[in-house]
Amino acid sequence: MSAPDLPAGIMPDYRREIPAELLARQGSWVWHEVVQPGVLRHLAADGSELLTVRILLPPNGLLSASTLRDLARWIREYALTGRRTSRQGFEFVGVRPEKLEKFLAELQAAGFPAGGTGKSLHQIKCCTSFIHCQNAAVDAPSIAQAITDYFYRDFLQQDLPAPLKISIGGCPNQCGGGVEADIGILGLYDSVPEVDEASFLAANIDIGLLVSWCPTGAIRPRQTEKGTMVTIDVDRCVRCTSCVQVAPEGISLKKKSYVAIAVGGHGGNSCKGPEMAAIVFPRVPARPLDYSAIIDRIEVIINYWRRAGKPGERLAGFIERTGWSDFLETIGASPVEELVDKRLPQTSIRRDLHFRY
Amino acid sequence: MPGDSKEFPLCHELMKGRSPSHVRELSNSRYPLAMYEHGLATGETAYGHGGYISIPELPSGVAVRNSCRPEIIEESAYLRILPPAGGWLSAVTLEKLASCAETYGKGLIHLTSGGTIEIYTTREQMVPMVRELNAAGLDIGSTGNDLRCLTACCGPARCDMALIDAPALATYLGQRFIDEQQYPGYPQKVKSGVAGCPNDCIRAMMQKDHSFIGVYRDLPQINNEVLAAWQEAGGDLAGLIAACPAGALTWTGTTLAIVPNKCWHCMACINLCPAIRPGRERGVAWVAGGKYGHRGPQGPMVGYVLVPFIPVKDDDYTAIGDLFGAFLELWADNARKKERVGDFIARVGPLWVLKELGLKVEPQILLSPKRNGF
Amino acid sequence: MLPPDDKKREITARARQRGIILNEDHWKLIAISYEYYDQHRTICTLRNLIKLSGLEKKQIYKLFPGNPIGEISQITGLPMPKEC
Ligand code: SF4
Ligand code: SF4
Ligand code: SF4
Ligand code: SF4
Repeated sequence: MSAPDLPAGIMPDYRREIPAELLARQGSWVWHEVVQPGVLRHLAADGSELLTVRILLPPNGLLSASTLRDLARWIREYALTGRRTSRQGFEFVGVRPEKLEKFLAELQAAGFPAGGTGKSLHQIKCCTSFIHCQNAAVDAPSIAQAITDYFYRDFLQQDLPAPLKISIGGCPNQCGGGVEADIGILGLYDSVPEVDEASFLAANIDIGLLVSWCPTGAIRPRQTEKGTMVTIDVDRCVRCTSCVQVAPEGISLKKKSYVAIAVGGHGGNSCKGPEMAAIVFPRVPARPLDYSAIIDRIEVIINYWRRAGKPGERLAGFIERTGWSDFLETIGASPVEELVDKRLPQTSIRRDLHFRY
Repeated sequence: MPGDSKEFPLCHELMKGRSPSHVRELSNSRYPLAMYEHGLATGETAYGHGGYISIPELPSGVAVRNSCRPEIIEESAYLRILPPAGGWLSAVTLEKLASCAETYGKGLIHLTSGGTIEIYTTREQMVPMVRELNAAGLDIGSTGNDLRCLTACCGPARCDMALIDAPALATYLGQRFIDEQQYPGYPQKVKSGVAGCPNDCIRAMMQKDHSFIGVYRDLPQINNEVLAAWQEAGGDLAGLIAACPAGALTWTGTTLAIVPNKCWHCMACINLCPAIRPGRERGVAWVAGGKYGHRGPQGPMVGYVLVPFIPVKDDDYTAIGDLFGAFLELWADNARKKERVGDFIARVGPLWVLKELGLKVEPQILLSPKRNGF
Repeated sequence: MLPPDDKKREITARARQRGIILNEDHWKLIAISYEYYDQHRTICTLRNLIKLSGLEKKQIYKLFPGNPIGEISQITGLPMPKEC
């Protein structure tokens, strides 16, 4: 066989993706500003500039070959190179200033508008769900699409108090994120997994792994005449579905699902350190494609923040200043008992008397 | 465009909106839209538990989703391509991906939330597609129990905050540990990331099992001349001082200064004002254990900071690579089956990890000393 | 610890069906797998196989391509833990 051995052992070098003239200016940038929604300008100490245009991509970064060719064509015509953002959007880097207006118009006409920079709603990040995943409880891409359509104006304008990032995960695996975002939408299952005795015993399941994966100790081994079985304690189970992933042959789930909405996650270390979002609406219906219940609640959250947030204040900072009790009451979060962390009550029940009314 | 709005009414509905539509992309490819329509119509996915398939030539980077609707599609196999660090994608690479997806796949490319690139295809087309990708300097990997989703932020080619060259470090690690990306052999997957500064735009501390974050150790540098110009142009000095979470910024009436031991070395003032630039003594912090997934005893968690500062000089990443490798070996030797790094560290304790690796416990990693005598 | 001869013939045949002609190194790995299973009642992980055999990960992948532990399980009949 003459073909070389596989795998070839190639880690691509990112420098190949960047033209020499841009690599040569690596590290020269000292500041950046948002020129207009979707357009960033980086400045070097010598006064030279670098323009970036950020566009919205369809939810979940799924692109047809023809769209990829369009992106390539736009790079060739208008910019130095491109990059996919960590939020599944796309940026053209090194856009020629004299062609900016024409480029923006062309993007708009092609249905990939520039936006999602600065104090706007950024690209919604989400996972593939029903398009290509076996675990999905809800369909994150269509939820993302519905939210994007509804709040479309906020992608294209920058009049929110601060940047707003929304992420959606189709199931507790959270591939699309959720816990890291200003507003996270988490696909969850409603029902407790059920063990089918016959198929469980037939399937030669690694019981040790199964038990160790259950975060709440809800799943317990039990000896029967026919072999080791497991029982699931309905009250302890948090429906994380880990057990279904370890033993899909023996444990199954009625696929009733809903989403939880969480707020105030943030990732960077500017000001406070990274923190996960907190659930404020624990149970919101998410039947495809009727997502009005999700959109209504997100709108209530955004409207309150838009009305009362100070300039530059992210959702997390806003809630910290105004306090959870006020925030939960104003947005009508309920039921409150479902907001308490079942597993780690010490993280959610107060142990001081600093009440705010 | 499908003329089948009657056949796939829900998919069709998703093409009507104002914003870019994923269904439009799907329908411009050979993706079986009936599978997605099934999911939307029933509220349940049409895919079943699949997993990692065995293609003798390709130990990693190939996977398959099973189908609950075999009459539509028997199964859906896909390749996972190692992405160039920093998300950088040139026109040449985009066109190469497009032509590979058209020739060997379903004409669809997935820029995943984990940072990799996937192309949906069939088992038979995998080896020919990989050979073509290889010829173009691309390769596959990052599935199964191996080193996964090694990503970085955009780095100093574009970012004015970059303290270290994140994509260069990620590329170094990816090259040095390429076998770990292509030959699964760990107890569980381990995701890695490199961010150029504490802004951590890629959320490495939360999403990645094992990450390095650019940090500085001296103080932010204030240029009072630039500051005056900035104020002149409408810069909000009071707002800037108020934005410092540590109350470390002080205004003497003529100059702005930082109270040294108050400063948290965050990025708040640097992000807000062009007159304040990051310090010059630079390195990385080492963070391990982050994950989003609600899995394992700990569920989703932010990683533990294990070492606050590892100096980086002259783009020499050897010491960081040594630590990266040593920790992976330690974890792999001692983790339980399917135990993610975060659950592992929570079980054995961060101190044990540091001791085994012969590292010092720096006071900076303490959130607080313990409040009991045990 | 190798299985009895008739079992060995069966293993050889199954390996051939899967395109693998067993040599000394293959048998070494199979023996280790049997011994490990005997002691632990679970199939040896790749990591343990590397340690116990002294072979490198890539060599093992050459011997049993694709998914070494999966292949060993298929060829020997030693039960494979479920992947998730
Ligand atoms: S979050 Fe769940 S539904 Fe979404 S891709 Fe991951 S496993 Fe699938
Ligand atoms: S769903 Fe999660 S909590 Fe419930 S039994 Fe299974 S593993 Fe345990
Ligand atoms: S993490 Fe820091 S260096 Fe990297 S892109 Fe973000 S701000 Fe720039
Ligand atoms: S780096 Fe952070 S803590 Fe230090 S002076 Fe600037 S804003 Fe304040």
